[in-house]
Amino acid sequence: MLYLSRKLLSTLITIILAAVVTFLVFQILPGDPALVILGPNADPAQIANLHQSMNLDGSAVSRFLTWVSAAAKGDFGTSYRYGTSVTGLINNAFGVTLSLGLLGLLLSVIIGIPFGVLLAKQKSKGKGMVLSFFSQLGLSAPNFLVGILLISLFTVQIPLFPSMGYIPFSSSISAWFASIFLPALSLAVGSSAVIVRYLSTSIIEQNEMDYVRTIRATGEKESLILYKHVLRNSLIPVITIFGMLLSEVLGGSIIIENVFSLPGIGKLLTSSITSRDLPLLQALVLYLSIIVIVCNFLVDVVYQLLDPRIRLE
Amino acid sequence: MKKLTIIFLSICMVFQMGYASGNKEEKQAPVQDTIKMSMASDIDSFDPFLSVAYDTQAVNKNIFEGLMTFDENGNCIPSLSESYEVSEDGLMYTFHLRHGVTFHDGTPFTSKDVVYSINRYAGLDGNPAILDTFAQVKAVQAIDDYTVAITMKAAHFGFIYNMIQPIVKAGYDQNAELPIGTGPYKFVSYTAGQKVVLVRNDSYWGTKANIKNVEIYFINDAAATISAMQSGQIDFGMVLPDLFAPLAKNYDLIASPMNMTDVLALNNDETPFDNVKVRQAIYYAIDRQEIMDGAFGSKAVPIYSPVSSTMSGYVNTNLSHTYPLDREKARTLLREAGYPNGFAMTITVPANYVQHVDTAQILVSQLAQVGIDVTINSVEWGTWLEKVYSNRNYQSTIIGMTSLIDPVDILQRYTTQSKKNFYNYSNTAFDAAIDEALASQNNESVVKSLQKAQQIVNDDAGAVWLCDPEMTAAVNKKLGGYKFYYAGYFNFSAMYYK
Repeated sequence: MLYLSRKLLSTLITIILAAVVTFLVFQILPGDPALVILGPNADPAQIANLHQSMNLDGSAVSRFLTWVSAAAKGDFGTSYRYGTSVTGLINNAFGVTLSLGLLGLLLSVIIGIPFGVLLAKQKSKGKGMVLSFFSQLGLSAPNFLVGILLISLFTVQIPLFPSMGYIPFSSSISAWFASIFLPALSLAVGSSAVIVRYLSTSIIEQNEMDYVRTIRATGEKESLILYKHVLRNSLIPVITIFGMLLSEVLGGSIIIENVFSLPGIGKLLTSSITSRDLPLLQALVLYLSIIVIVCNFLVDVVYQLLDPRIRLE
Repeated sequence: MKKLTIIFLSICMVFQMGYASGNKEEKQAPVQDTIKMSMASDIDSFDPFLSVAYDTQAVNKNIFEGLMTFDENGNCIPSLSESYEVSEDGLMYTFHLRHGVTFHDGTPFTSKDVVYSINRYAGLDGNPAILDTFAQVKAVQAIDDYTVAITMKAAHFGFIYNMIQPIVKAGYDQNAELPIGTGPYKFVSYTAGQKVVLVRNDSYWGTKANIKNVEIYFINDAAATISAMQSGQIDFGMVLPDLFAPLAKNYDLIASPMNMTDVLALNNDETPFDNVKVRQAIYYAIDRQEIMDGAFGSKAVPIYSPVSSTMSGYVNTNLSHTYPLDREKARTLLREAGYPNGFAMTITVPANYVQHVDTAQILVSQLAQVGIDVTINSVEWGTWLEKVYSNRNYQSTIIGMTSLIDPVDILQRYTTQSKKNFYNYSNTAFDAAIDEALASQNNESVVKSLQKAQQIVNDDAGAVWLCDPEMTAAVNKKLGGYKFYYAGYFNFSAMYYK
């Protein structure tokens, strides 16, 4: 109980700090949101009208407090740039980012774990250079490059998938999958390489441990040792990485979303910064902080399940 | 391991077949009843009272119409009004509206819609004015259902160009969600960040559109646009000329100057640019052709005044010989101005405009040859707008100004009182020439006054006008009828499948 309440308090403080810092940075940052939206060819009356609707009068402190009190009730205001409710925009973008993130991570697990095990097996026999090389390639290839290569191969040369746009799950499952598969694959190339390396190192470490020697002495089959005992323990550092990857992709893969024209959180984030869209940006910062915190919490919980020795102290 | 791979690949195959079979025709040839276009930026608002983005208006002009419109040569021609008269003193405009026009929801178009719209633009209904360009409107009155009289506070030659503004259905305020206009296309749907869908208006008063459906997709990555075209998902869109090569088989590259003036602005209030000789020296020192070749792939037209050469009726063609490349002359002028060893200057460029950054880099080497040492200060767009444009806190900068059909608009920015005069240029003779043009009653005297104004600002080297870059579009070879306009307008109704 004490643990939970302390955790909750530190979470709240983190979120508030993030909101305050964002707000402060915006006050210092040059750039009038009305002018950014309207551009230098705008009519002065339009600029004046937009200023008024943005409520840019009042001191910074009072404006911040107004935002906080509204946010506490769940009202994050209206976006300067889009003129619609901020929560609506984030909800729509979240659906896209969630699809992309989950499918991407699923693919990286499907690819990463088997190859991680394979690499560990090969390395213990002194081989594994080819696989190691490919995982290095996967790590270092920038994901936009992977994206563009995939588009070129699977959209232009062999017309299999669309190269842009997003079709929601609710419209058509096959079309949804087609629109999200290439982007998820681009994501998975990098993340699976990370998983491969961490897992293989972890398995090799575990294999050196005393308990493995003991089990081997009882005459257990090698494959059973691996899958029943070693793998479970080797997954622990991988779970940490996985948690980080999850919070990263849920925060919006800006570059992938740009290359594939997916209207996700990443796109919303970049556009809110360039158009100085403060209400949208503040809400996004809040969203990102919560995502990171929740992912970390989930990682802690999964740890507990995997290794009873770790207790939430 | 192998089993997993096989299962995984077969799942992919299943999904792929579902997608591919349904869309095979799309990849072979463009579907005959739909145009698919790509746009780099998202719509800002469908409501004409709220929208300002150039690209949005280019799309919105298919849904909404004004009393007047413009053709591809920049001429103002009748649209919702069949004809109009102007009183002798220029203070009253009488418009005769077209009969039998209906809005997309069936409501007939009458004078009350015109009165409502103009009152909103001019701020005559108690709400703040939407456009300062309507400031000279004193009152709007419906004489009968099809006649409207607009009374002005002062004569203003360029006022007729304001009648291009969209006419909105009286009292209807849902245009941001469901725009209802009188135009050749009706709004179907909008998915933010994704696409806009339009359908042909079969009750349109004029020539009906050829193609039934229009889908506009927002793709802001240049390479992604090319891939989408290669795979047949997009039929036409703006592309950069040096990226066009892979499309050459199925697409044509159509280019046209876009009535934008790229200018090197020299802050007339800052040393050393407060000295006219220094400004003129810079003019003599630059090589426009090199800039056009280097930064625009030679796809640009040189300009010598704030007015682009595309505004053929108004541009002062005598100015093309005023400051030929002459480095000796430049150095002499600098000496006369008190800078025998040149000086140092900073060009602030907005980092997101590649052409301006490239132009700045070319200028560094060109100006170095006359002893001027240039430093480039690359800033983010929002910062540029505030620092340079709003606060005029800069020494020199490079920017492109988009022009409207109204020829006075771009020149007015150089008048002393203009809020848009970030050049800080001031010359009372120039101001007088502009006032003359505004008060003129006939086209000839307007042209004379505007050309005089251009001569004055060119003599003063108020800024260094570089070129009008060409807009390049990749259009599927099966699509015809694509026209370029000098203001934002994607004319879908003129397009057809060959």
